Order: sequence, then structure tokens, then C-alpha cells
Amino acid sequence: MYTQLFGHYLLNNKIIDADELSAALTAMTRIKPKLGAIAIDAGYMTAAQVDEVHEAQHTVDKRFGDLAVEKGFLTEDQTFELLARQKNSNLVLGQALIDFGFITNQQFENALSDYKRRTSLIDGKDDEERMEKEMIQVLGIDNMPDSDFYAEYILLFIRNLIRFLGDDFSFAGVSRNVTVSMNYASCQELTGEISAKVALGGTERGFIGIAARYAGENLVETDGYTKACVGELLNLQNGLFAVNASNDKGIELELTPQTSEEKLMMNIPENGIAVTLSFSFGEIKIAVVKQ
Amino acid sequence: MKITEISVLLCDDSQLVRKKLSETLGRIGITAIYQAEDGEQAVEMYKENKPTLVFMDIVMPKKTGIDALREIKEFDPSAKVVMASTVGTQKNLINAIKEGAFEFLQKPVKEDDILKVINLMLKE
Repeated sequence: MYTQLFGHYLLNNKIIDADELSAALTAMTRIKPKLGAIAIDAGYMTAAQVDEVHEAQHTVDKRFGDLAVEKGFLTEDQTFELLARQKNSNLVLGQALIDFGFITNQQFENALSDYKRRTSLIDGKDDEERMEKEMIQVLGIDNMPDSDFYAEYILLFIRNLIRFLGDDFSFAGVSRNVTVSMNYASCQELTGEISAKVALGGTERGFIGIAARYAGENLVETDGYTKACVGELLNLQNGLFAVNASNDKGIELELTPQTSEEKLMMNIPENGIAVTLSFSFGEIKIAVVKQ
Repeated sequence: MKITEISVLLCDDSQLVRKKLSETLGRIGITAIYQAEDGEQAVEMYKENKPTLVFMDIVMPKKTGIDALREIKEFDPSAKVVMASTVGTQKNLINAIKEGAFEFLQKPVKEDDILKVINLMLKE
């Protein structure tokens, strides 16, 4: 999440442009180590244990380190140590920008220290909650009606995208009070004590990219299988949201079957939100409207 | 009964879920696999094939997994139907067990979960 926030800061302050950020994010996918990889490298976990934790993340909304501690694979101290190592790996965005020649070392150092001063954010476990608050502000969710619902829903979606697709994305826009279009989309409704319509989709490239990364397969066209993959990611997001609502608030929600849409035009009222994300494989959109 | 003699009916509207589950079942030696993509098909295919075990999604078009479970149990009270849902809440678990589900799993279903269910079934 730090990558997206720092990338947003660099763009907003015109230190880099969108194309430069996109190129650096693409490079990051090849070089950024994940916590599991760092744990294996440190000799704290076996590959099978890492796989087990990744599997578990499909059914519970918990961080890798927390799950590994729960399962007895890591101690708290080891988790902190690994997160500290990963913190350095988050600097890979800056490193990639420097390697491409988009910014100098000095510009990077200045930007990083200014960003930390403004937000008090440094990467690491203790900052997770503050990063999420910063994210809510960046997306303008804190000022909208039903901000608690939208904050929980969008933050869960962002965590799931980072877990299942990767974190090589930046925020390309937030829309309200408009009609958003998606060439391909998967849609689902939450019903019960809370009702909401949700769509996940984007350009053809973006849509295929979501499916390919989620399924871990090389997909090249928008056939039924590709649509099923995007639909299942949306279903997983909404299932976890419903589980959290039931466990944390005693609110019971149900889901409708996912549907696939082409050339979707979705009306986003003032109390709805559409977030556009630019992944290295293409542009995707999340649209949510609470009824 | 040997594991290779088990037949399974997979009921899920997601092609991805059916593919991944089929692959997992294949890896543990189960090859007699039938697939249904909605609740109506699930009931029809159960009546036609009488599989040893059923994995049933809850949220499906035409007929929900819970309704399909009820009809299958009416037709065959000894049917072994495992309900699987991304919405792994207490309410869904209780509903499924009340309707006679053999087990309730949160999706995505893992190989370990399948093995546990099969061992449980073989012990009965």
C-alpha cells in the first residue's frame, strides 16, 4: 500500500509523470520480493509453509505475517525482522525510478523525506492502520456519505488486489456523479442489511490481466473462462466482506450470482464511487454503489 | 471403497472453480467427475448419476445450492453433499447443516479439505 501512496505523492507533486510511474511499477514486478520469499531466504519458513499461508489468505482477510504467527511458522520477533527487510524492498519503486533515470538519487531522497514529514508514514507493520487512513483520504472517501462502508469495502478490495494480483498499480482516478464505462466487467450485488451493486472490470487488456493473474495462467482472450476468473475474484472479495460484516458487526449479507457484462455503462451517483487503477498489464475499475 | 471408486458431482457456476476442483480431484486419484453449472442441473445430474459425493456452491443461478441440496436429500436421504461458499458465515453453516449437508467448506476449497471430507466419508 505504501507503494501506491508514495507513487501518488510523486505524481501529485509532479516529480514524475504517469508514464514514468507505470514503467517503474512494471519493473518492480520483476524485482520486488514478497514477505514469503524473504521468510524463505531468511530460513524461517519452508516453501510449503509459505504456500499454506498464501492458501489461507483466500479464506481469511489477514496479513501474511499474522497468519504465519498464528500457524506457528514465525515468531512475532521474526515477523518484525522480515517486515523491516521488506520495508527496504519497498524502496524498489524509488530504485526503479532512479535506474530508469526518471529521478536522481537526491530527488528521491528529498521526496522520501518530504513525504515522511507530511504523512508521518514509514513502511512497516505499525503503519498499516495509518496507511489505510491515508489511502481513504487520497481516495476522498472520508468526506462522502456512508464513508465507513466505502472505506471498509475499498480497503478490503485493495488488500485483495495486492494479495492476488500484485501491487504494481497506481491510482488513475476516482469518480463520483458520473457514468463509468467498462468494456468488460463482472457484476454482483450484496443484499440483506446492506445492499450494494459492485462491478470489477476495465479495458479488454485490463480484464484479461485480472483473470490471468488471479488464475495464475496465461490467458489471451475474453472467453467464458476469463470471465469466470474475474467473476470469482469479485465473488471472493464480496464473500470476505460478508464474512467480516457477520463476524465483526453481526450483519448478515447475501450475494447474487455474478454476471458478465460487455460495454457496461454504470451510473455512479454522488454517494457511489468508481476507482480506476492502472496496472502494468492495463487499466481496471472497481465501481461500488450502496443502495 | 477405494478412492478411485469415488465419483464426484461438482456444482458451481464458475468455470474456474470447477476446473481447479477437477484438477485437485484428479491429483488425488478421482477421475469420475460430473459437472453442473447451476442448481437445476445439479439436481438432474445427481438423479441421473448418483455420485458418491457432491460439492455444491450456494450462490448459483436458476436454483440456489441450498434448494438443490434440499431436493437431492428428498430424492436420496443418504446423499453426501458438501456445501462450499465464499460466504463462510455461521448463518450459512447452520442453514447448510439443517438442510442435511454432510460438511460445509469455505471457498476456495483446498486439497486438504477435500481429503478430510473423503476420509470422513470413508469412515462412515
